[in-house]
Amino acid sequence: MQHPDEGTIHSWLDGALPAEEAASLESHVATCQSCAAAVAEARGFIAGSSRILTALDDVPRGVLPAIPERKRDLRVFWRAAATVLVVAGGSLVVMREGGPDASVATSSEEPAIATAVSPAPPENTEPATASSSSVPQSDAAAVAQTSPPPSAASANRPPIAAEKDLSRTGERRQAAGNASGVVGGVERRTVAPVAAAPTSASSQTAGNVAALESNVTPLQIVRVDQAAGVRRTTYGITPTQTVVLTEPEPMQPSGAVAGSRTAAKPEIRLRGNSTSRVAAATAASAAPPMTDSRTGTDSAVARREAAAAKTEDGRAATGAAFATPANTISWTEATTGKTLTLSGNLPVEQLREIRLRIERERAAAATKIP
Amino acid sequence: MTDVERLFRTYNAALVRYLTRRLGDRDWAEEVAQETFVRALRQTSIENERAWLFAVATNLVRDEARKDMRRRKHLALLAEEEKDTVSEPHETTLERAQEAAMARKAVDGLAERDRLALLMREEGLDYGEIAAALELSPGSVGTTLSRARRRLVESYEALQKSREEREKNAAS
Repeated sequence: MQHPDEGTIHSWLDGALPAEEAASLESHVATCQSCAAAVAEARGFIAGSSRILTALDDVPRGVLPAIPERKRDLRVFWRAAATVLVVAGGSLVVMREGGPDASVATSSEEPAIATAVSPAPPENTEPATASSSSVPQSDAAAVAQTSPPPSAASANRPPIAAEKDLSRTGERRQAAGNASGVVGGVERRTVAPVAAAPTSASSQTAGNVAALESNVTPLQIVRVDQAAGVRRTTYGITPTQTVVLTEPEPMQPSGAVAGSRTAAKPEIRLRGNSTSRVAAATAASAAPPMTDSRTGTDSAVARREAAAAKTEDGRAATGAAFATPANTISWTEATTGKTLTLSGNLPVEQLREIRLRIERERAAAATKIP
Repeated sequence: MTDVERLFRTYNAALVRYLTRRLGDRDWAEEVAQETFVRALRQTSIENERAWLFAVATNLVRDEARKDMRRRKHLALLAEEEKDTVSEPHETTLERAQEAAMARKAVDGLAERDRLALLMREEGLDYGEIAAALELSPGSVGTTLSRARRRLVESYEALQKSREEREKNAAS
């Protein structure tokens, strides 16, 4: 018999050769040293490739990377404290200077942001959100008096909180039928726009999608936040539509410097049990009923529910573009092994398109670094 | 139990694993798998079930990918990057995550047909089924698989080696 080629050897090892051919190959290999070596090598490749492929199975689902457990509490405390000061100060000004309209204007405590992204896509205002969404915690009276219009409040909701709300989609839907539901301060405000403006929102989404498809220019990075081990990059897709890429970053001392802009953000996620100390200390009012992302079972459930809700939201419920929380996809970046999460008020398909663009641009950026 | 239920119970796990390995995204993989079973619902009869399911799933992924040629550019960029590997600032990530990333990179570097044949084989499809699903001649499956395995292992080892060198350089 001739020396078998590599393909034939693999076929043989895979049991795919006809019996006759297999028998003759087997007897040849028994006597031919080089073929025996080739067979050994092929076995190695078969086992090796199986092992390598197994490493691909550990893929995360659409989850936000967890914040490292320990260093948070103190930071959160100071951030919450700072937020309270800022908000209390702001509320005071508002209460002195005028009515609800003024309160909306002053809710942008970060003038830099408000001016930098002038057509202000909803997600871009997230730092402002941090303060606005912590209002009910810190100074419920101020909220009651300044009561920003629902749309402003919901537009200001940060994506993180939005993702969380996915897990309560059912709850919200139920509440949407009855906007005065007893869900709590934040929730009530987010409900109203869902019920009120589905049609305009959906037409806007359609516009965004069209704009997205025609848009082949590089993604525009609107802002980058870095805090508590998470780096969040906001990309502008259209003038009114952004997506947020979340990736894990190791803690950096400089985080404290960058703090003021991003300060209250992690606190949003942490409002819950142990940190509610802070909430309780600073505000006697009802804290929004957020689940704590650290609680294992809660977050697992939320994740599952989010995954379940995602498809539906992505396909059908584009109507709630303003208030409906983002869709989220996540994947493991090949080059760094980081778990990246992309969220935005776009259908999942669109997010995937954007994911490909982001991947390409990140790869391009990485090659530029000397 | 309906026929589709039986199909689902028999093949869903393998199909999802195949797609997850192919896409690197579990949620996406599950969506594609579900869509595959929905398509199966519409069939009156399926001759070679496993080959049919894997072929349909593969086509669903491909159709989506075809819409977007960027994927190829991305692969080209990855290949380029491999030549000129950038030092990653954070080497403290888990060993496992690094292995997964290298595996992903090595798998992404394979030719599409090689990759699919290999992933299908790993899910237990025989040569006839792989040939049917990928529209290959049965005789070429062995060659395709041997090439895929060799390249996968070699490129993974190359990545491993360059990582070790990077670590050595960083340490010194």
